Amino acid sequence: MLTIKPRLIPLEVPWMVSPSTPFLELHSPQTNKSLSTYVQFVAYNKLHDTGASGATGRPVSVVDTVPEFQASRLSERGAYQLVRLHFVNAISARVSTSFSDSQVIEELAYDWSHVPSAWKGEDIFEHLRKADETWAKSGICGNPGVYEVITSDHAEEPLSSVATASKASTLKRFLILGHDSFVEINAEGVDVQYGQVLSGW
Amino acid sequence: MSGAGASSSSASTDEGSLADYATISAQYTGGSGIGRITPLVYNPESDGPPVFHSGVWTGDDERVQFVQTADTGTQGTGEGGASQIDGKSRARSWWGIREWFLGDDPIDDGGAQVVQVADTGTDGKTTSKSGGSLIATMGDLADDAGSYVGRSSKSLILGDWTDEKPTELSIGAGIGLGVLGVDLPLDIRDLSHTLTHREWTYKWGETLAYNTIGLIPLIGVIKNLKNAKRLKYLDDAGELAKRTDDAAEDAGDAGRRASSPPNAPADLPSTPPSKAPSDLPSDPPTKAPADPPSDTPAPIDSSGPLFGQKRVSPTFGTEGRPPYLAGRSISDVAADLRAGRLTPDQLPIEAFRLPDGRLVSSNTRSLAALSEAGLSPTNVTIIPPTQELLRRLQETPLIPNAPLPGPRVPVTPSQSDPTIRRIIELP
Repeated sequence: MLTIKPRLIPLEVPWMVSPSTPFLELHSPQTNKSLSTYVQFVAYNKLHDTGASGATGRPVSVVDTVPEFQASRLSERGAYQLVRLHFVNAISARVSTSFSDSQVIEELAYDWSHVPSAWKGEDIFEHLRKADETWAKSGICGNPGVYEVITSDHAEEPLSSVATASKASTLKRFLILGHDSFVEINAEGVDVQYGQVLSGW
Repeated sequence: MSGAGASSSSASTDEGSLADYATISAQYTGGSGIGRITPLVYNPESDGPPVFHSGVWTGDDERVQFVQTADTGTQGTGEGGASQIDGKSRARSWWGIREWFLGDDPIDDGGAQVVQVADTGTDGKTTSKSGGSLIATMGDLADDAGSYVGRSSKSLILGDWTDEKPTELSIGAGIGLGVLGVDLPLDIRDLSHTLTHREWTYKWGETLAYNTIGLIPLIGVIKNLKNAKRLKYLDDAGELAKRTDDAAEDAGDAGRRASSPPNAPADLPSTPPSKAPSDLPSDPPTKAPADPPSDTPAPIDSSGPLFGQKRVSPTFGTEGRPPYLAGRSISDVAADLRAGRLTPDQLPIEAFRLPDGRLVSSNTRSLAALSEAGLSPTNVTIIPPTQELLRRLQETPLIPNAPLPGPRVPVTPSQSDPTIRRIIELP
């Protein structure tokens, strides 16, 4: 039976989840529902990338673990920065292993038509150039690796059976791509919180 | 959807309409040497936006990778896929190292629809119609004892000047003459054919490169390996290819390495790929995929797949990997490769092709292990680019001399530790 593919709607943010070093983590409280469910990762912002530390001759710093998140001032921006996405009234979430070495999710299974910087078959170099150009001009990353997933009612697959009919009507599904894993969350909304800039990444 | 076996009518050719999009499924019957490709009508109502499809279909003991796409463009064709050419749906597939374009005229074959097959260069130009269907083409390759010697002789004597496909016998004889150093007339014959049949396509350039190498005494024997490799895919002549690989070893390391042209899929995975197909989302395609102009030589790169990631972790992941890779360090795997406990074939590489002809690997750790062992991949499958692989290229390299894509990659301890431990470079 043919089904309509879930449509990806990218979050309008100035960064992308770092494709090589995302360090994607899901934090979902099991008992204390007053705590928020959030996803933390390393974001990459090309607009603030003046050359990686190694590329500019500066030593690459040792980071044994991702440093503890420290909320940053709005003015603090860097090429690599910790970001938390706090999900409003999240009811379910799951982490899955990447689909393959070349695809975090099964890309074929999704409709990418609303992702501005998704590759549509043009010359690859031209695609990369345009993606960077669009990023620079708009300040928005065209394919950030964080999406809201729009599904048709009949095609929607609840992540959890706890979603009641009344609740489900206000729920949105979010998808966050890491490197070796990805996260899916059903929630009513999402807020972005910026952490510290990671130097040496 | 990509692997659906249902069939219906052929693709419409109404220019610019969603109905133009063709979905094509492939079925392969292992062992019988029969391949079948069936065009389906793309149904925009139920299928959603047109997308790029690729897939791997597995038979009993054979594998075929099939890649196709469709878009609204009416000119040209895209790297790693295909498109509409002059309003007609076309798709490219890789069958081993062969690239096929599928015509849009279905031929009824016992109730199943098959399509015409034509050898076509990367610029989308059909250079020679093989005629008939894919089934018929594959059937041509089946050994016919009555004509085998005759076909072999014809192939050996006329070389590229005949459409006769090389056989094990003709390839073996060619290698023998090469080892004896008396094949110069044959090499000049083939090179003259290449130079007088200039097409400015990737395939033509590849042939030119092989035939030029063929002029070199002894080393030139590797020219025959291209045909041997092709047989391996099309005619299940894996043993022959192995034997010719061994013969190349006698010609030295250079010959051995060149036996697997790095910019062509050198082999199909030794185990069926467990991962599913890639996808090129496209709704609506804004332009036809770009390819080199037809009057420009298709770029060819002689090097192997490049690294396409900013950094590589020192250990393989554990999910979905064979025991000899799962959880192991790149260095350990490289040591096994050097000691002969593992072969390069056991580390399949998937790579996509850039417009300039270079290949970019998606299996960074496998390529790093091979590189650290001083080996080039021998098991390369060409895949279409994915959104994820292209996203990786948007990051800035860690070190100045490791561009993305590039010939070297820094090894860092983990996802959370970008400290550069060492740098692995392609051999």
